Amino acid sequence: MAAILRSSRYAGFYLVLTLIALVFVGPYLLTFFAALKPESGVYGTAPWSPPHSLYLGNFHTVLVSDYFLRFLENTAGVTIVLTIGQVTFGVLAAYAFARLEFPGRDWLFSVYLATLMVPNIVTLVPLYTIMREVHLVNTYWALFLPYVLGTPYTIFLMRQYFRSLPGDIFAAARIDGCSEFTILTRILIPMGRPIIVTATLIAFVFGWNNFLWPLIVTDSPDKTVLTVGLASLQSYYVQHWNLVLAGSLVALIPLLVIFAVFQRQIVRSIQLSGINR
Amino acid sequence: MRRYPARRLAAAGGCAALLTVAVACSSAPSTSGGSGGSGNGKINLTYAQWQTGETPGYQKSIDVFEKAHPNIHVTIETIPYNNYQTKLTTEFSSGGGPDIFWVNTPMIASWLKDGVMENLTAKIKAAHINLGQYLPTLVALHEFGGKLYGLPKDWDTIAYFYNINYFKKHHITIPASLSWNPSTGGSWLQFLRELTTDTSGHNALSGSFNPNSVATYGMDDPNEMQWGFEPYLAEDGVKLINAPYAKTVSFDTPAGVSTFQFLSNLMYKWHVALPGAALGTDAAADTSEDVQNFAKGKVAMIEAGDWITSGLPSEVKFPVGVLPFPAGPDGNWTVLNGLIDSINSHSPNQQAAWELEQWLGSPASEKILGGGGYIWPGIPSLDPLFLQYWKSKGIDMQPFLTESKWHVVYWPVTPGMNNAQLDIANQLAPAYLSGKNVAAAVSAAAKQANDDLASAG
Repeated sequence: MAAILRSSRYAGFYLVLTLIALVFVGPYLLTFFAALKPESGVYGTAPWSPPHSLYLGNFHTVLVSDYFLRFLENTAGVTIVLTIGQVTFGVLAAYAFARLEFPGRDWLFSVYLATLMVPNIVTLVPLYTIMREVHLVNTYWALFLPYVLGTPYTIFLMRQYFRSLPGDIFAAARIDGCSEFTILTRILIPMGRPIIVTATLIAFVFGWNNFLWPLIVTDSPDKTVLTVGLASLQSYYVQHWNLVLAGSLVALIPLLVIFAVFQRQIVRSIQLSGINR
Repeated sequence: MRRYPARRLAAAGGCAALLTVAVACSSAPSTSGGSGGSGNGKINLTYAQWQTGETPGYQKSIDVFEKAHPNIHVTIETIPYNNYQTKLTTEFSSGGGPDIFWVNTPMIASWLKDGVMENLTAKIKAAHINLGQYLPTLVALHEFGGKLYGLPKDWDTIAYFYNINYFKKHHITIPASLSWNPSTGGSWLQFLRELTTDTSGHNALSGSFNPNSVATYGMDDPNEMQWGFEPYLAEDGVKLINAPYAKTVSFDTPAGVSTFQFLSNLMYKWHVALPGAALGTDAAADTSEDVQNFAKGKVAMIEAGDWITSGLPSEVKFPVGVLPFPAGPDGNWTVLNGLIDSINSHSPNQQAAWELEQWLGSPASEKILGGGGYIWPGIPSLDPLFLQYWKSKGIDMQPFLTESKWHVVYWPVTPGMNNAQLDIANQLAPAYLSGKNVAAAVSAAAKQANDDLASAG
């Protein structure tokens, strides 16, 4: 009797889990189905019905369209620069805020952290005005400059982690004559690897999915990023869902690859940051 | 922890500031976006629009323009419609933005108030541009206090696209004239009853018709202003606002309520229009749920603007026809809308932008766009080109053209209308989704819209 009860409890448990998984997997599955249907199939059949045949026309249309590969290239380039910049400068800043002592350090950190509370939309116009004044509108510089020197969130995250490392190690290194650079490269970075991986992933996903700022600051197709380019296919008046979803699927591939490669670190990053962004 | 003295920090800060200035100064100037020349003696213009499908047509036209103006280069900037006004307003607020840009009716009032659209009245007069060549109602739509802020480029009206195969299968003959009224429904209701069939094949005129098992509804009835309720309101003598720049809406009248009640009855009393829930969570069909239901055979006709025509051949697997709007108690009315190209008053390239403006509004450019089936040209003498293009593709677009000669009502032009439009849809949604409390929903929609217009100043 107890075994039957346990089995039925497990069955119920797995049923609930399966339903929850379906809710999360569903949109991706529908995207996949729609990307493999011709436009008349997307409109004329139920979204959950699988495609009758492997129709690759949407991918062909998207990939040979004038600018899609350029959009992809722009997104990849900007994301790589943003990720490298945010992590490099973020580590330096977090180290300074965590382990160096200088006048006004905590005050400066508080002020910097306070910018975390300001929504992006508030700084949009001033930021655009600055870019315009220095003639950077519609350039790659404009796409990454506002974010490449680190973001309050990742610096805060890394600073907290660096502070949790035992202070005696750093003191011992200094007694042994290590320079700050040596401490940073030989001690802090190896010990802070989990949080640095987390910061890298956050920066990458942010760069890849960024929409509003690239939309505002770029004007020409040769500087457009993927998110903005895909949104253009989805006009208010005419919506080519087959192309939008095929393009979205292509855009998703790098993120899926990153997930597959760094699966363990991602799970660990969620534990470390406590936030799944 | 290591301690750093203030002097050393100040020096580091100074270095950082110098570096920032150096980076900024070493950057090349922007090559577009109203920022002047590119360094090779050419003037770069940016032309902003939102219609990806029309971009090839505009590119063809601009190629011809660039040949005639070798010192001007034009970049077409396609911006998603939902972000169009946000992006441009952000740019305008810092003195930037495209040199020349599309303006849709809901955007006019805000941008006029902000002073970002160049008044072209004097230039048009000096260049002896014949405004009489354009559709008069289209010119009137964009004339404010005797001033014009752009040359009209295209227009659209609202009609019904129908499934020719379905009509043939059910032996439907389209009556020569159709009319509706809010009390009996008129010949329009009879026609819709004939069109609506249940899963057993009975139409809604039959006593055996099962309203709980409808296979195909006669039409859709979206909770949308332009291609939903505005044409019906106009035909019942109701205007959304009484005049341009009105501070309050005017659809919450007994006639307005009875029009909305009629539309609700089509769905929930007579069961001849697709229930609102099939058109999205707000019943507004704003992510093309109408075309999806049309393609699936759930509706025999959809109410829509001519701009969806280019997408239809690939979206549906049957031939489509076009039916004009039925006449209402107040006669034949349509919602006429159109776009203008406006010049950014902050653009440093005023003369070049004016050259492009003239070209885009000229018969030569309109011929390229109309003849390619991209737009109904704003110059009526060229409309046959668009008609011909679609006739060759098997779609007779004549009803849209016929409607453009009817009484017309416009999208309401007043500050805050963009927000009000969304709020009206939100407040009407419960009635569209349930068929209940129509009068209360209309009243709530009007109240919310009035608040929006008041707060827009």
